[in-house]
Amino acid sequence: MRKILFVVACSLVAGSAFADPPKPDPGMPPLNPPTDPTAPTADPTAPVTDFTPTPPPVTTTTTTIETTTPVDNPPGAPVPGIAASDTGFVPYQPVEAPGPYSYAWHDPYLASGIGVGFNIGGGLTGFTDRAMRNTVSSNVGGLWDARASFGTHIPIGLDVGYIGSAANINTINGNANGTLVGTTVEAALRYNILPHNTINPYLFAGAGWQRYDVQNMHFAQSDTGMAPHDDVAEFPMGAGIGLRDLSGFNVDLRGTFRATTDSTLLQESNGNYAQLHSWEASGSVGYEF
Amino acid sequence: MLALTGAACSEDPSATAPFAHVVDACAPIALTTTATGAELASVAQATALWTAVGVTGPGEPGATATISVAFVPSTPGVFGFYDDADLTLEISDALSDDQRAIVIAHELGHAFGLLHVPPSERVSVMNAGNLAIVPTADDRLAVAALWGDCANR
Repeated sequence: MRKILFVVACSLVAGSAFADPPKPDPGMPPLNPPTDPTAPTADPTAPVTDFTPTPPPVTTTTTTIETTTPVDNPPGAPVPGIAASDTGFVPYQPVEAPGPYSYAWHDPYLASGIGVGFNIGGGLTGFTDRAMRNTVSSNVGGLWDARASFGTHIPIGLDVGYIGSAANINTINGNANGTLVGTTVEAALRYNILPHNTINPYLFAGAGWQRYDVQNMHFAQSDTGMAPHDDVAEFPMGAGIGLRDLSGFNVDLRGTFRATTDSTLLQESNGNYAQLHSWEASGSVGYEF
Repeated sequence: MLALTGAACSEDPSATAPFAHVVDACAPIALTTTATGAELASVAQATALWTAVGVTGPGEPGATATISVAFVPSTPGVFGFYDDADLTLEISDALSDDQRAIVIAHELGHAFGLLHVPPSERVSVMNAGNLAIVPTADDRLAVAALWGDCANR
């Protein structure tokens, strides 16, 4: 930091006299041109007075201005001691956006820096086990889901989701129909293949808990290998694709296979228990920041 | 262990059961079916299973109630159903001969007003999902608790 001391001397002079008159500029006409001897005298008869002008009192003011020149700071950097809000000056901070194929672990264009999103949606689901497919009225049932994603714009993220499903149960001869209601809570790590691209394909795998409840079925008057409910651990895995824009709006499409631990929900007449492995094809919309 | 009351039939057993209609297990009951062959034989076998433990209503002549038995397609985990609205036993057509007789006996138990018995409580033909257990002496006591002891009616 270098300090420059300026001393300014100002003289306030009355009349045409200077206490220390400067040398005239050759290019400028003199303020008091020399008297032309040939010029007529205004009034030769007028008494000549030896006039000696009296210089006015001279007032000298000395002002010291101390300034700081930010010669060591880069352009745009705030001046120490002076807040930007005080000056109205918003410092420009250059931001380098990750390229679409970047694997950077930070996205400066997002408030979260990593991409945090919330989505809701729905889709289709079905069992892969033959016995379960034959138990529900259709091979394809409906599902609804809600998901929070942490790290949609970095290579590795985390999805936490709830998935609900419902399927009609056709039991016997059109009677004792019920509804198989599934509830799933799961978490999965997601590998974002193009984390900073507008279109981001991703893979995921995780673990969770799944419960099935049989509702509205006439258990009391039937002989059935179907339990009223069952809880299993489940392991989702699959792939998806996220479509997003700068506004934060995003659309997510995904396909999932869920492997489950052994279930006792449905026992067949051969003594075997049906497995609850299932698939899902779903879409959702949401917002990320 | 259930107590054998030997008392008179409950005046209204259905009042404590979830069924719209039940039948007196000790009164003569006719089982009707259009089935033939092994399925028809299973109906007779189920009747014999209850008679063997002293529940004598099924198969007795001079029936005062009729229960129809139908063999129908079902989903893999559903073996039988007692349709209490029209006194019909609907039995899966995918069962083996032995399983079929036991499921008919199970559904007859519902027609008598019996509810499911948890396996942890006792072994019973009324265990949910039962495909192997025939009516037991305790099942006879359960019937007697509703309708009295058939031998002393």
